[in-house]
Amino acid sequence: MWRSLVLLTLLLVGGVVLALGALAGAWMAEQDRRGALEDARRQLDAAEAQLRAQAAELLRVAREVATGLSESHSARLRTWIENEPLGLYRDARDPERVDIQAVMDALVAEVRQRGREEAERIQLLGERVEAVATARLEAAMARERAAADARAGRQAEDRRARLMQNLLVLLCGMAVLLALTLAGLVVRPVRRLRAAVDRIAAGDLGTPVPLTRRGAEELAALARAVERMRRRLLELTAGLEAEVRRKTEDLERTLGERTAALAELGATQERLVQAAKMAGLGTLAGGVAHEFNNLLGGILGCLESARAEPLPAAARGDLEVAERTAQRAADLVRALLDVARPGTRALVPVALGRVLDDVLHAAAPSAQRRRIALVREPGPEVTVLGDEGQLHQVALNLVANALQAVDDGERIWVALRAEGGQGVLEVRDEGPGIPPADRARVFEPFFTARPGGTGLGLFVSYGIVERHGGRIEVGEATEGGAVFRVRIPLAAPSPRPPPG
Amino acid sequence: MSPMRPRAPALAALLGLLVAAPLGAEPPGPDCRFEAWVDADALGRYDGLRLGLERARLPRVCRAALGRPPQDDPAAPARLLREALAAGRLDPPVFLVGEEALALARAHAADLPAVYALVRYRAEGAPLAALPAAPGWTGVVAEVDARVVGRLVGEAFPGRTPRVGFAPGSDPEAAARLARAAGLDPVGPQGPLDALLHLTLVPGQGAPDFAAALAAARTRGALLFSDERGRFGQGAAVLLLADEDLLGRQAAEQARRWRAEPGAPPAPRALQALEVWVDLEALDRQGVELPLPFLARADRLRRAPPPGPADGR
Repeated sequence: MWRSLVLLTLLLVGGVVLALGALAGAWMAEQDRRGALEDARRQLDAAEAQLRAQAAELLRVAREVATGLSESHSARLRTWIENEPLGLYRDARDPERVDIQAVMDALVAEVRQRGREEAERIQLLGERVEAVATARLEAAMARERAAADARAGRQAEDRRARLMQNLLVLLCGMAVLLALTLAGLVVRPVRRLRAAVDRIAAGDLGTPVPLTRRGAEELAALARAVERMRRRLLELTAGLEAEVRRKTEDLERTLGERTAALAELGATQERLVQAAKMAGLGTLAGGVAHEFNNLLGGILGCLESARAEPLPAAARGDLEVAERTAQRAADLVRALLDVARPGTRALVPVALGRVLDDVLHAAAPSAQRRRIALVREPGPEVTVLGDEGQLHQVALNLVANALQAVDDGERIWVALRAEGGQGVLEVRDEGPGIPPADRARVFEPFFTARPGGTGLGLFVSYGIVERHGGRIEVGEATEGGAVFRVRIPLAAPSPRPPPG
Repeated sequence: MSPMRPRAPALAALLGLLVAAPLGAEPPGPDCRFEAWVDADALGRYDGLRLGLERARLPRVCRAALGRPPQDDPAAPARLLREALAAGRLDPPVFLVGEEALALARAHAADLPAVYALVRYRAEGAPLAALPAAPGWTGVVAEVDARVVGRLVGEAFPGRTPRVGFAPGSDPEAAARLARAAGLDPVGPQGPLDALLHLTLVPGQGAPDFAAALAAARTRGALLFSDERGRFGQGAAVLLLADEDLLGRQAAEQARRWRAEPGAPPAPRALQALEVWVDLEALDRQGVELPLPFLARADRLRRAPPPGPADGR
């Protein structure tokens, strides 16, 4: 169908071009005709002027000829009259006299003779003038004919040149049409095909190759072949990409695992270092506490004995103060000993929620006095394997530290959740938080940033959590304060033996 | 028509040419009492002489000594003349028509009464050539101013360079003088063709070779001019001639006067006249066109004879 349309369009355009050419030819022919008429008019004018000039010249020559004839005739007669020897015309009867009649007769004879010669010359001259005039006119006409022939030749040459020019223009037009047609049938499909190939070469396999239905069948077949090639490349590329993606995921996963393992390893190492350090500190503190416990035992025994003795009231008062002080020292020593000595009680499932409720209940009065909000975040019941009393002590330490860290009117959040086989107890506050440089030391004994603090609460808690096989962490809360997380293994169906 | 040259061999050669075609002698009659020696190129003068003698009612010329003089006896014509005069068969004077005839008389009949008729050229400013002054001699000389020749050549070729060859009738030296006087450069027939061509023919035998001159002129595209009346119709395009008829009649008048008063011959007379004869056939043959005014002033025109039946036209 489209071929017929193209052919019809070409025929129409060709017809229009031919019609325009014919019109142009007719116009130029009319111009030629007018030019030829003008040339003929000019030629006639020129010929007329030349003929007039020739006629004038001939008239001048004829006048000169006539003058010459007249002068010649007169000169001859004058010469005769002036030079004729009159002595030859003597009268026969009177030799002394000139015979006038004889002279006249001789003169008449001379005139007649000259007249005959003159007539002959006039005839010859007339013929000559006629011949000259004829020759000149013929020459003029020959020149005019030659000029006319030359002009006609030039005009014919001009017409031929114009015809060739028109033909050239027509051919150029047809060549342009042919070029446009070829461009439409061949060049453009080839260009589109080349663009498609360039896209494919650039990696763009998603754009389909335009399958033109114009142009030669070979181009269409070539386009289809390129499209098949594109699809095949697309399939191969997709497979390769999937493979690469899978490999990449494997690598990433392996990398993640290794990274996690490295992190875990680092954390474990850190915990081991920390544990070793804490163990050392615990051992040291335990040794010191053992010796002090012995001493304090003696001191308290002595004090108890002394209190049994009658003493003045003032002394009894001092004794009581000394006894309370020694008792606090004994408590500290006992706390240190609790950290240093492994627990001996069996670990049992402990509901951390109930422990936490007891702690919050105990801390509530203090918090209320200072208008501190103790927020128990909702969460599942978490049961861990441990020593309820020690876990209670840990939770109480964390809440007490939070109460001491926040200002009046601020908030403390407490939450429980199960995570990774562990029960997580989280306490965070709106306090100033713990500087990162101090976070590694907050669990060391006697480290405290609070005036009047002993620096043993977190140390004791650390020891308890370690003995439960858990882990205690410190960080920064989203609310800006500090956050402590205690991870204790969840209670198993069969209770595990106590560590150590 | 040229001055006498002293070289006898050349004169003999010229006379030989003169007598090559002897003019038939006048038939003897009661009025035949004169003898004339006539150059071959002076027949016009001879005709005028006879006409003048007729008009003067003088006895006619009986014979014209134009026969070739014997090589071994060049004085024969003079001796025969003396015998005729002595016998009373002829009357004096003897008519000398032409330079060669004059030279012959000077050599062998200087003592006899003579009437001459000569044509001579004179260059501008040159004095008239010495006329024959033998006792008892008289005659007429047509002295032609050579400038007239130059003027006529100029009229024949207005506005363009003349291409003219000049074939003298009898005396190359006289023709050379004429050419120089007319502003023409004399060159020989074998010389280079100049724009201005002047053919001064110097044939080996002392006599002009008109045929050679004509051929050379035609080869070079030049018109041939001549001062020889007999060349009219023989190929010469233009003839520049003295009025020889008039000259002959004046010679007859001189004879009449001499006979009337033999003791005191009249002084010779000079006249200036130059006729122009144009051969249209020669012009057409060479494709040369001369101006019509020049042709109109010509004294005589000649055209080609009408084509005969053999031409088929």
